[in-house]
Amino acid sequence: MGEEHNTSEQEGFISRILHLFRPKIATKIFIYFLIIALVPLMTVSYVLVVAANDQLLKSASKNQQTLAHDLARRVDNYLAKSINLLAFEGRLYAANNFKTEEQLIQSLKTLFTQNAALQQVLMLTNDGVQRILTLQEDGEIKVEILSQNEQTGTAQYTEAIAFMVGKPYFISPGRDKDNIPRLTLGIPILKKYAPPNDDLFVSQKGETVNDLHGAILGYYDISSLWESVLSETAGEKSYAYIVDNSGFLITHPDQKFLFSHAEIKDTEAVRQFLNGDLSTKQTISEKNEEVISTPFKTQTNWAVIVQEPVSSIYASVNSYIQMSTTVGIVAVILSVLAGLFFSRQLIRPIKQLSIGAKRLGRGEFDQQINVKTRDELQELANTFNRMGMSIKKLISDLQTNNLRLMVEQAKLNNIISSVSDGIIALNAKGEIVSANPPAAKLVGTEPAMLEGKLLSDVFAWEHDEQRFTPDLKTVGIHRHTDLVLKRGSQVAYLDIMVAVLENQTGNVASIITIHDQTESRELSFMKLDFVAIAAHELRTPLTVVRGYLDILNSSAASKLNLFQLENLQKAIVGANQLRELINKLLNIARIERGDMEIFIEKLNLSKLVSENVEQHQPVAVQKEQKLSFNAGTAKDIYVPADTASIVEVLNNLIGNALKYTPKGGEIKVTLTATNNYARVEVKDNGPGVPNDMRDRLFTKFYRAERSLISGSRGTGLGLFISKTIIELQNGTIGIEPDQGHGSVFYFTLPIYDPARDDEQIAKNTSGGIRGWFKKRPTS
Amino acid sequence: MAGLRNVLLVEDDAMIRDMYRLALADSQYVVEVADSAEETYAKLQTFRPDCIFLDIMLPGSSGLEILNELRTNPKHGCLSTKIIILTNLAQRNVADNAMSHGADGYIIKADILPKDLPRVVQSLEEE
Repeated sequence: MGEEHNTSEQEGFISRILHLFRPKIATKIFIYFLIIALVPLMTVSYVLVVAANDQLLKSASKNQQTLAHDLARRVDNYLAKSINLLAFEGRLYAANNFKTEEQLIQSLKTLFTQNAALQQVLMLTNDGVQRILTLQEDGEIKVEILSQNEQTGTAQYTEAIAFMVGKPYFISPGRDKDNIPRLTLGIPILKKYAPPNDDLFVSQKGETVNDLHGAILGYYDISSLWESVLSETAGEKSYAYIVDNSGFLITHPDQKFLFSHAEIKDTEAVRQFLNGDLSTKQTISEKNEEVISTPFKTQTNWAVIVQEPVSSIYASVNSYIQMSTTVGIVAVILSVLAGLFFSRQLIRPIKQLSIGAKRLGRGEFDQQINVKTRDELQELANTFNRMGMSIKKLISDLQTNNLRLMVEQAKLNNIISSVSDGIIALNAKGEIVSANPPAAKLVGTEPAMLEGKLLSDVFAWEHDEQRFTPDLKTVGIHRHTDLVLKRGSQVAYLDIMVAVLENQTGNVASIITIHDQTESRELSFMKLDFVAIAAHELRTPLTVVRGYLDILNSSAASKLNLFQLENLQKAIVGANQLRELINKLLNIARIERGDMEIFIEKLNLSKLVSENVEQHQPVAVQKEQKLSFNAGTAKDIYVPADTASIVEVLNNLIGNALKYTPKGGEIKVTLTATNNYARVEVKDNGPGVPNDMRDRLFTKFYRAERSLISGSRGTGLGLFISKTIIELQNGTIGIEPDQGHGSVFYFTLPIYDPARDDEQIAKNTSGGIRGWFKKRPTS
Repeated sequence: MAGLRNVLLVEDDAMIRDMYRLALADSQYVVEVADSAEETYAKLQTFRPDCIFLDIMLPGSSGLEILNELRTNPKHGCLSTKIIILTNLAQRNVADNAMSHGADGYIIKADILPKDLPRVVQSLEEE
């Protein structure tokens, strides 16, 4: 996880860099080529150079060690030889080889021939004689012999002798007045010599002054020591110089340097030696060059310092670096060329694709991108071309669909703007996309003014005096009733339906349908339905007609003539018929909707039938018919029934009998009762009902043929309503089979049973009698 | 008979209102009329009816709302006045609603005649 994070961070960094420079693909390819070409080359070169450097350093170090050792040996030999020559003279003197002073001087003179660098020889002996032999410029040797008495060198002698005590020899490098290096070598002349041995320095120590016969000192000009001793073995690029153990420069290949520098102990290489470090080091030379330096100690504790400039050691490596640089540059040039070539090759089809894409963007879907690279790019170009064609087709389809949609939209707009309910379409944010005029009218504006506004800003709905905001998120249909929308002093009562829809892409939109209930609010408050309203509206004028007809009938009847009175009666009958018709239609409507209202009470059926028969007597009298009621033993029969509806059934059955029975006929109404059922029968001696019509008698809007024959009018609704009423109250209704003389209609109702019926009766709060209801006694 | 003499008739339909006023006046009742809730309340400040006939479908507040107001607000002085709903709404649930809000009777206009109104008042007196 951490690594991934790291990687992505790195990528982020790289992409930021790339973003900064925004290199084109060509540039990128070019850079990649460069990297591919150079990285291995550089790596190999670097490794080789490092390895070579290491190797060269090792080899140089080894060479220097060898050389330094060799040179030191040479210096040692040179000094030993010079000292031994002096010492040889000392031995000869000690052994009394010289019979005369002359012989001694002659022997000493040979020293000059054996060493070209010797400038002066000084011999002191304990007899107090001092001999000074000086090599003159003309090659002659000047001899001075100073006796003890005349010489001033007694002190010098004593000093030299004292100096020699305990030493086999002494070596003292120095400079003359011209700063030319001088070397002073001295040996003691011992009274007694041990036999010679193979030691390089054969001289022996004089332990006390008494051991000494004297001393011989040689002064050497060593300005050319380097040339004579060291040059032939010094390497081509390396050289050596010599310092003594105090950093005094003894010899140096560069004479100029030699003469101008006496002491170089501050030189790093010399300091290293003085510190006792004899290893090969890279250091700073006496000439301030970077060198590889190796000191080697001679037996005289001098140092032969061999050194070689770093630049010369690494010269071969440098040439290699130069070569690889050259190769690198060539490689870069080749990479550049190859990069340019390949990137162009690669880019050309991509450019074509890019141009194609731009054209596509401008709507040129027909264009063909021609890439013949026979690889993925060609495939891409082909895909691109196909895509263009697909898009073209899609767009054409879209345009067609769009057109179709516009037509549909127009249709829908027409529908929406023509409905009386308010309709509002909302987007996911709850902004109004469109609204129809009724919706806009609710807030007193035009539909266009609502578009783009938030629903909640425009419609400040309240429900139960609380601000109400519909849920526009939950998909589905939500209904909200009794919303209040206040606008100034006006109050609108609304029912709304919120349909929240989700399309395939998951966007939610809503459509709100607003039904303005303000006008019918009173009715809805009373839970009235359409039929009730219709009935109410019909009844109102009917009330006026019936009322004024009755007032006319009772107040002005005496002033009317017979004809006028008859007409008035006809109007009253018609108005009553209208009332019956309206009631029947209302009942039919209720039956149709299955909510016929039945209010069960404990009903004295015998009393009710008796009263109803009496109410029909006037009609019977008018038609000269005989209407009778016989309850027999079935007095005070109670049934659980709805009084008003049973009255309606009786009106229907008795009314029909009166209507269809000819003048002078007879109608018998009887009430009988068994343990379970009460039965009311209406029998007439009219024309009867044909068998084939009996089945349809109790269906809606059916009227028997006889009615047409008799010329009676009726809606044919009565029996249908009666059937429904009776069956709702668990009774039966029907017509007895034709006996050939009149017809017998009947209905039955269950006898009142307190255990079964009281609970239902208790639910009924208002007692009803036809025309008006009175409060029931609370007892 | 001495009890219920003053009748308030709340009815917005002028023809029906006149019709019933005529019938009641014929029977020696003192009749005042109102055609809305506001007029009813105004009338009640000066007129103390023994009996109120109340239509339901009125402009503005309905008769049922007036009923409720009269039965619950003592300032109208009608807490125990006889109130009979006189309407053409024949719904039994409306009738039940009226009865449970304190109506003494419920009359469907189309089913009675003007001359029946005095009889209704009389039946109330008999209780």
